[in-house]
Amino acid sequence: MTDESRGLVQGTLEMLVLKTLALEPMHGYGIAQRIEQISGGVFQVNPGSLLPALSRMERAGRVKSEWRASENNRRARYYILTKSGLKALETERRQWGRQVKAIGRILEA
Amino acid sequence: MLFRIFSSGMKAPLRPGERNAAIEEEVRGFFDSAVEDKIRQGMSRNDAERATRIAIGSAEMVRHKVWAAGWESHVESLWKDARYGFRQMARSPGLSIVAILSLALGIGANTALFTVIDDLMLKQLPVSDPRMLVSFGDGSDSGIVASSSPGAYDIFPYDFYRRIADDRSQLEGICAFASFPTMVSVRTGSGVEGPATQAISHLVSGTFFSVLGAKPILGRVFGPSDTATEGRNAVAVVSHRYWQEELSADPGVIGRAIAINGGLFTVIGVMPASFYGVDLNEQSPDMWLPITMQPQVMMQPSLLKPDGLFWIHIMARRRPEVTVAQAQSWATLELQRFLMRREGNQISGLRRKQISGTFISLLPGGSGLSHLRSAYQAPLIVLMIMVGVVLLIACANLANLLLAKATSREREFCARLALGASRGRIARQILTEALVLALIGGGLGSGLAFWATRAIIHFIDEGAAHSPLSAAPDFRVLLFTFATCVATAVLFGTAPAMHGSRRDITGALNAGARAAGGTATRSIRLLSKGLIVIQMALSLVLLTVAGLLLRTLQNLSAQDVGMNRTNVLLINTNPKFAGYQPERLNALYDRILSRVDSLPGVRSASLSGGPPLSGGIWGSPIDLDGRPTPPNEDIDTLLNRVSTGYFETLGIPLLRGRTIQPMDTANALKSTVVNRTFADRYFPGGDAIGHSFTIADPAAPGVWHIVGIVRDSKHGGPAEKPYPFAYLAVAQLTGNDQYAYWLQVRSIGDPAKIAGEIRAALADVDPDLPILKIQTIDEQFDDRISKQQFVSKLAGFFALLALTLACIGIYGVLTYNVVRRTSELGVRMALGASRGMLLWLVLRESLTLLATGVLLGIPVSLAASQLIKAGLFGVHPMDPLTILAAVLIVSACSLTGSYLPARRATKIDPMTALRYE
Repeated sequence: MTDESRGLVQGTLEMLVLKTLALEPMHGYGIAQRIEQISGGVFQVNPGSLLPALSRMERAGRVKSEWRASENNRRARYYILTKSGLKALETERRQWGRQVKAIGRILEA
Repeated sequence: MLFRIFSSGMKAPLRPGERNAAIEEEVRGFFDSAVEDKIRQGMSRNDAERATRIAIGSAEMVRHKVWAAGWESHVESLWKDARYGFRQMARSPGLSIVAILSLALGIGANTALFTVIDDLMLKQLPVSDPRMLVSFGDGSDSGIVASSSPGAYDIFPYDFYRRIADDRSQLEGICAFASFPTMVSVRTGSGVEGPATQAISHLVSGTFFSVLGAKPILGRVFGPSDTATEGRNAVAVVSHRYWQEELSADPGVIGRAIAINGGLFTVIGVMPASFYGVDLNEQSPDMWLPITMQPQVMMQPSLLKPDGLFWIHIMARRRPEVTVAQAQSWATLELQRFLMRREGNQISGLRRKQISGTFISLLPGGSGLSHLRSAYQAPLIVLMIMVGVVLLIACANLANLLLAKATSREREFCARLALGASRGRIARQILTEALVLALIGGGLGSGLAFWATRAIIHFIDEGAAHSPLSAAPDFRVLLFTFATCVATAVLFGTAPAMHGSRRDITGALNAGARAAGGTATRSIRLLSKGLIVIQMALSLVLLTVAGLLLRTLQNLSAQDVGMNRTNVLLINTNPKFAGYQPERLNALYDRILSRVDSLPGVRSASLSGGPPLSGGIWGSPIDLDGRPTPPNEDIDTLLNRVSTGYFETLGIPLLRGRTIQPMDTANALKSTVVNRTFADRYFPGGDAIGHSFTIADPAAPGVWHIVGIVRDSKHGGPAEKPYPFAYLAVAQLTGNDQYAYWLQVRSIGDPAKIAGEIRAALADVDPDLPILKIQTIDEQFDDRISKQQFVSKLAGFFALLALTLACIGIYGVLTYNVVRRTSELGVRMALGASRGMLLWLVLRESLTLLATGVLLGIPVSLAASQLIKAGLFGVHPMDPLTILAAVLIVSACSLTGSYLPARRATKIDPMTALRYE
């Protein structure tokens, strides 16, 4: 299906978005590009899941948005990480770390 | 943060366009950036756009997904569904009105009845922690009696209360109160002058308020010191209503003196408006007076002496650590000891055995005592079941409407499914429509209920000025109505919803127009027919039950009560309130009778102690001809005291001897007239006239000589069995038993018209004589059968309601079927079917439904009539005539309901019909 983001581990999209936004404010396409590049093309993020996720995160107060001119002088919606978003990122990162370690231990046992 | 979520969510539905535009712009931006990137990588614009669309999918889909991520989209779709539901309703207004009215009537009737049941059966006293209150017995006995029945006791002498009152070992507190209210004459004017008014008082012990845990809003309530000494505590606690209406809500009322029966009482407290005492009856008391003031309040000899009569009820507050069973066995033991000691030393073995069989049950007292409750419990339960059935029929109408609509909108749903709507979405749509209907119906029903509750309560309390029954539906009732609405919608919304969402898309899109043949449709039609059959059957059951109850009422009303019930007026007065001592009564009676007799519209007049057809009557054992009666013989006789002209005025025929005459003066030989049952039972061998008897009640001393025999007449009600009855000459009694409280007047024309003249005549005799009540004997008779009137009239109404709803239902469904089969009927007509054949085609369907309904309904009716057997009079529960009548009514009505659509079928124009789809 075209609207499924390819290769993404389930439930990690929000964490990846938060991490991406922690570097600098970005618009939706930029976030998708950045995730794809950094993952070396392993993760592809589709707007069908990215934009609803951003909308949810904005509702939850983890990001806020404003309209700015983009690099090619278009009007684009930029998402900015909030304090609560930063906290959420830390929590999720810790959780993820624990999960990865646990899975690693199980696989190596 | 919560606020932000809320505010950003709230903004959106108010300006849906703005948010949509923003989302669209963002999605487009995303899309364009992706295309540009690909162009930069060397693709042509066309290829880049194609590749992007393949990777991302439809921009519209993305936009919708973002939109759906916000919660307001749910609110909005709900709102859209509701609006869509309104439009659907407006499209077929007939069916919608039918459904809404069905629900309004069903829910309205249910709420009204539930409010009354709640008031009468479930409501707790407005006191603190009513669950801990217990009543000694059910309080169904009331009055002043010489002894209580063996077995369960619920009425006690005052000294039994005195014996147990201070024992706190088993119960936290015990209170006593008179088993009946007492009417008193009150002067509240300044200097306690001015006109006398009547008020309802209740005699209570000093612990009454503290045991109930009721607090005054002004002043104080009684304490134990207020009932310590007999006759010493002239204090009163008044009700909120009495304070407002009679004491002009005077804030300085505490300490004010009012005259009660001529004696001065000080007002010491005002109770809150919610407090109505312990009796949930037609009228709540205006004031509470110390039980030790009984002689002054009742203007009767003291009932407070040791070995006194039985006249009080007892309630108590439980100790949490003592079980009801423990407290009960303690109370029973105390009662038995008390009764033994009362008997003295000369106690027979039989009596000892009788006493050991007595007991007290401690019953939950938190809902107070009520003779209304015991009288109306059974009828209300019957009515509750009936009204529940009415709601069921109403719901079946709603279900049929929703089913019909769902099938006719099959194509719409299929189209929506094909366009990507989820089944859940469509089911939700149908449910929303059902809820909209149910809520509108419920809203209308609540309004209807408010009005109907008033009507029912008015019937039960007979229009009493201040009744503890309240017509305001309380929270629980509202909850009940709302739950009924929602349950209806959910229950009956789901069947069509499930059907609607289970459609096979392609099949339905192709064949949707001729949906008549589909298999799913067939099951729906079966369900809809099943609903009609159930409606028919239930209507038949309700009609049968109502028919039996109406026949009962008819039988009771037509029952010969042994007197002439036309043109008699009954007037209740009280010479005590005007200060008459027994010595002056005979002269007063002569003056009243001669004054009233001389009125032009009056044929005759008489006085008596109790009114005819009153239920409560004086009774006592008697000894015949001075010889003691063998102990096993039932020698209880009902008594009344009457003046000259009593039998003539009431039209009770004299069989032998003479009636009470002016010669039966105080000094003459004591004369009594007995009824036929008395004469036949006690003097089976010969003539009772010339014999005499003595009365065990010390209030009527002396030897009474039988001078005449009259026909049996009824007293408690039309259904009662004849009972020995003796009428004593009132002029020959003494003391408290010489008072006559009722005046009977036989008029020449309409008795209600001479009421004014009689008032004037009595005022002429003595302006201080109060007129407490004035009513025709027919009204008095109606009071006797009010319970049956209540249940049978309401049952009749509910049965008609059910029948109407069922007919509307069959009409709606058949009409819908005819419309649905328009093209089929057109083809038949085009192929040569006559109008008669088409008429028969449609009617045949309804006849089948009717026949099935009747066949199912008859056995259920028979079972139902067995259940109400106890409430019937003069009609067999399986009365074939009633059942036949019910069957005929159901048939006639349902055939009318189906004839209209059938005629519509014959009016179809074949050409139009063939082009119908």
